[in-house]
Amino acid sequence: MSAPNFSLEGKVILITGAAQGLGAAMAQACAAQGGRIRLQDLNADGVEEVAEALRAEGYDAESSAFDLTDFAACEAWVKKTAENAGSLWGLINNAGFINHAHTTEHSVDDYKAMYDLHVFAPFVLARETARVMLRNPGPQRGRILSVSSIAATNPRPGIGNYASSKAAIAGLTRALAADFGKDGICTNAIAPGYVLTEINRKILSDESFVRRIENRTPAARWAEPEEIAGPAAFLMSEAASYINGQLLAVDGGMNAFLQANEA
Amino acid sequence: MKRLKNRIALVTGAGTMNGGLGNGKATAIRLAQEGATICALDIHMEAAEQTCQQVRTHGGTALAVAADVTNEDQMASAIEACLNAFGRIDILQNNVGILRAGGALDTSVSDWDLMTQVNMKAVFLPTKHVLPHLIEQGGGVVTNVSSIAGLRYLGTPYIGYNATKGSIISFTRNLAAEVAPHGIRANAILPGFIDTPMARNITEQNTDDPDTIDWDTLDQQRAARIPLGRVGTPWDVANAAVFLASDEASYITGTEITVDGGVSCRV
Repeated sequence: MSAPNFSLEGKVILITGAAQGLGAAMAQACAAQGGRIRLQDLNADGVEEVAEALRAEGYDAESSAFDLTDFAACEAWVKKTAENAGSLWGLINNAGFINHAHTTEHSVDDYKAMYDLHVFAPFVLARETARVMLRNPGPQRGRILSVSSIAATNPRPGIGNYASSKAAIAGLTRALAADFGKDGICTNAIAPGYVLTEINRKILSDESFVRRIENRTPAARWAEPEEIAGPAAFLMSEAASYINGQLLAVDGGMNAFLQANEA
Repeated sequence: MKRLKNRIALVTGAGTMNGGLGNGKATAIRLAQEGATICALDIHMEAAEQTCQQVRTHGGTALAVAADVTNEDQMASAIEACLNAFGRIDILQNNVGILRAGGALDTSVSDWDLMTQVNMKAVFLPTKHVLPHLIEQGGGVVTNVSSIAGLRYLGTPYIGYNATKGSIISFTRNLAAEVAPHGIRANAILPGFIDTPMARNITEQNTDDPDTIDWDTLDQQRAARIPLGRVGTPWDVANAAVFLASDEASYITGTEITVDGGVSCRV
């Protein structure tokens, strides 16, 4: 029996929202395991900068800039990338955003915008990448991974559209796991807790909120983006070949803990 | 790159009788392949020794220790032996478990007591005795082997096993919150249907004439219910153990990782 195969050598992996934060960290982690990384972001300069930095380290990385809510563009990206790279192994649905508002202030359009990016784009990308992965020789044919959130199960006030869309991606993950499992495609999701990333800039500027999260996390600190990227690289690998339909909490123990003694 | 270089791992239930491959043995071998030094603990010395020989075959270092994980004195001595040999412990993999079939009506009180005694103490006692050392060292990892049986009824009345495996999830979450300030992580692995000697043994025990069991048909029936289309192997469980013990899982604590081919995510 060979050693645990955490390697991603030669495997082509698509990562959305990769100009910064979790996406950039995941690109670095997957590239470090030998993956050939294809990065997407709306921010053309930002995503090319990340790709350029990876190439400077000797990794295989290319960037594309387009809007994920343009579903035809999503399809075209998958097709073109698979064609150019020769094959496709992995997809990481990472792109996301958040806008804070109480439910009484939310419009249907606020929800639609959130679901377009967090649910419909991942669905289209998963469908298209799976079509390509099915051409891989097997028995293992690919990996689909989506970034959900601790908010999918434990929201805080003011993020109804975000939290419900993150629950939807967790549900979609299980449905894809049931659909594609027999084809050797494993589908999983990560549920990060609170991470030191750009998307959290607004809440990170609130010192008392930062402390409150620390107090409610057994690890007593926010996560570094790299700490979410390591598990992502693992779930992309063949070492995770029997893990399917999982929502993996990467939250410093937050979901195991209800702070009942806090004022 | 070896993920677990210079780490010392204590694996309980590390042996498999009759030369087979169980989750504990596979985990010991995988951890060693990633650089960890292994203390293989089993109630049967011979089984622990067999695992150590396999670890050495793969180029690893291993010490066999015989102990009953439900016996506090024996556990304390076993941990002492591990510390004497290797100086520290970084990873504790609690893998011991036992199953006696039955529902609430037909499980005997003695079977119930056996399962609560073994399955719950198997995580509590080794943890209790290893923790002081992890705390003194400033960190470490505890991984408990629960089961998807701890989440749901799986079609066969195993109420004692399922209830005690469920308790391991709750034990692990509480442990994680307790020890996080010391830099110690605690998680549970929930294997699904894994082809192990213990699993085969259970099927045999619950069949009137074990000789008539058609394993291929049984495996196929089971595989048909699993999204990935196959029963798992101990290596699948071992790989998850390696990941949870590694620095790549540094923000993962108080949670469960299912290794079940997706069977628990569908109806």
